[in-house]
Amino acid sequence: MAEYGYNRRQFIRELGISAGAIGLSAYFPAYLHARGVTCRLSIMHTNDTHSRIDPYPEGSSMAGMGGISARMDLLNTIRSESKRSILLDAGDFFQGTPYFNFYQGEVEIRAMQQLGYDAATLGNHDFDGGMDNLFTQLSRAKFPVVCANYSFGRHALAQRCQSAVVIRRDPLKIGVFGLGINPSGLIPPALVPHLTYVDPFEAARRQAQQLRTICGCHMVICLSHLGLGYADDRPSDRQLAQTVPGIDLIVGGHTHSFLDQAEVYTNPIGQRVYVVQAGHSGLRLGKVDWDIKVGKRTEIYPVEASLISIGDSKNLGLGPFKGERPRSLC
Amino acid sequence: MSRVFLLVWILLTVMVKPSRAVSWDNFREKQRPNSILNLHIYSTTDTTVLKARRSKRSQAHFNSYRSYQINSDSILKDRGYSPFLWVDSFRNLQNLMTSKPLIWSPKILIKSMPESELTNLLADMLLFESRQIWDSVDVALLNPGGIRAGFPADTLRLMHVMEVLPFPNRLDRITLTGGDLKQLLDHWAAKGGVAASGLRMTIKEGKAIDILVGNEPIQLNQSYRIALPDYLVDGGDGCSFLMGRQVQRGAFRITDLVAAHLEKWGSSGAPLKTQMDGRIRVQ
Ligand SMILES: [Zn+2]
Repeated sequence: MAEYGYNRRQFIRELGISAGAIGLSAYFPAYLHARGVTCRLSIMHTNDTHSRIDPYPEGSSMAGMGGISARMDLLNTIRSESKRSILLDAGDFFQGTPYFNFYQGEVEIRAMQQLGYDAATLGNHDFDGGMDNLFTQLSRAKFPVVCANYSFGRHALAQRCQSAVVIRRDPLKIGVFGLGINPSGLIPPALVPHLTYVDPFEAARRQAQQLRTICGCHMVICLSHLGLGYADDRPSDRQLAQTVPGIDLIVGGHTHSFLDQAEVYTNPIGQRVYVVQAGHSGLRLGKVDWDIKVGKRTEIYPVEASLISIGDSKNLGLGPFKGERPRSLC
Repeated sequence: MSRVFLLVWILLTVMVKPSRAVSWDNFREKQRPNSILNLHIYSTTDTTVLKARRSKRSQAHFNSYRSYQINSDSILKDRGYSPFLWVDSFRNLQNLMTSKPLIWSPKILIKSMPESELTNLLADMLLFESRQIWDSVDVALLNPGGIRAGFPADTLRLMHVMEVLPFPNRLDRITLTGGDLKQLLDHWAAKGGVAASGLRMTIKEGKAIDILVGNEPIQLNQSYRIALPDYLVDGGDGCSFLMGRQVQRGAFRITDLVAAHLEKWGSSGAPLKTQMDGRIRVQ
């Protein structure tokens, strides 16, 4: 089990030890396991990109912002700075611009493949072209699609989607599982004849446990399209964080929330859980940095969570933040 | 102890740095083709950190907000940018198909709440068009969430309409009692406003008051015919209370209705005319 804590003195001491370990580990791998080594991991995330291939057009309060080229540039800047990075998307990559109306998602999926996504989950709008279309488009890409609480019966999508994936960034093993929102009232039933929705918290409990105990993951991430939180009792990221043990980070979507502060919760066994979300339309890239100490006991230290603007500087801080700044609990 | 290791580490780093870099190379870099990787490293040298702000709350070490600025003309225009050159072929074909001019718009129109020239314009056009389809329609409503962009001060083309109304929803007509209509308007009042035509109302403490349908105060027992997207009729955007009502399904997509209306309007050479008439006020 991961343990959280941040003790400056202890951290500095470990920094010295682990620096030595990093230097030696390539030559003496056994040493690494005996004393532990601290690794920096950057998790980058987007959600609800909604077919925003080009930057916002003129005539919008966000004109010039977003776009896959600017996103690619930013990703590569970060990748050149950090040794280990993971890029995730929390769903709803389809629907929102004429690109989807004309090409049914081909452009979006090919762009995601090229941007180097390591995993994505499915949002309600990803079914807007039907299940057959979703399968056709996803076949153009190789990144794993994770969703633990949708079952597709005998449909081909069942082969393309999986509950969870273990992403390796030596020496780290990161478990990522996905959760989809209840389709009723959001997806017309005619579009998803083979889709069965399972309780997301039950699925999450099972995935988190399997990823930790069977797969031996150092960290477990939930890629969720449930939404940040609701006035009523619909399942949400905030509820999930406080209900299901074994999750370290929830990367959310659906509610288009610009969380410039990560929300921090405590799960039923007293560990901290972080909830992040990066607005919508590729206007922001979320980035969460961790120091993970690997050894006999895994320890996870959160370092920094940020939302990074993508695109035209003229509009920085305007538009997208207005009126949508969810309350932060920390 | 740790000092000894640190010393050994520094020595090893200096002596065999290249090989260490390779052995710790991450999974992704091995996966990615070299040509693409190199391209990007050069194109991102002008990235600067604009501002840094650290929270003084208890999680100060963890939460912060940063903005990176990327100054490159090729990125802002998003054309001819080498990694995504293939998008140009999709973009060009799409532009060809959607570049038909519809009407001249003299000014930029941006969506805002509780009413705006853009939301009023769209609702007015839908009310007009719905009255061509059905003989009696009292009110047209459009959920603001379905309006995803604004119009530029330019010749409006089909592509602009598709940016503003990207969802493939059709226009339906639903029959509601005055009481149910009041509930529907309260729902939007709580959200700050709605694109509406054929009615006037005031929002007070998240409730719709002083509702006029046409020019008459709303009668709670009278029945009204409302044109609105099938997305709402099917219970979307929190409108589950509309499900199972008496409804006439429409055959036309909202995007197509708006584009056709703008084309008819513009064919005489007249520019787009918009208005703010205080149909929705906030008290
Ligand atoms: Zn969604």
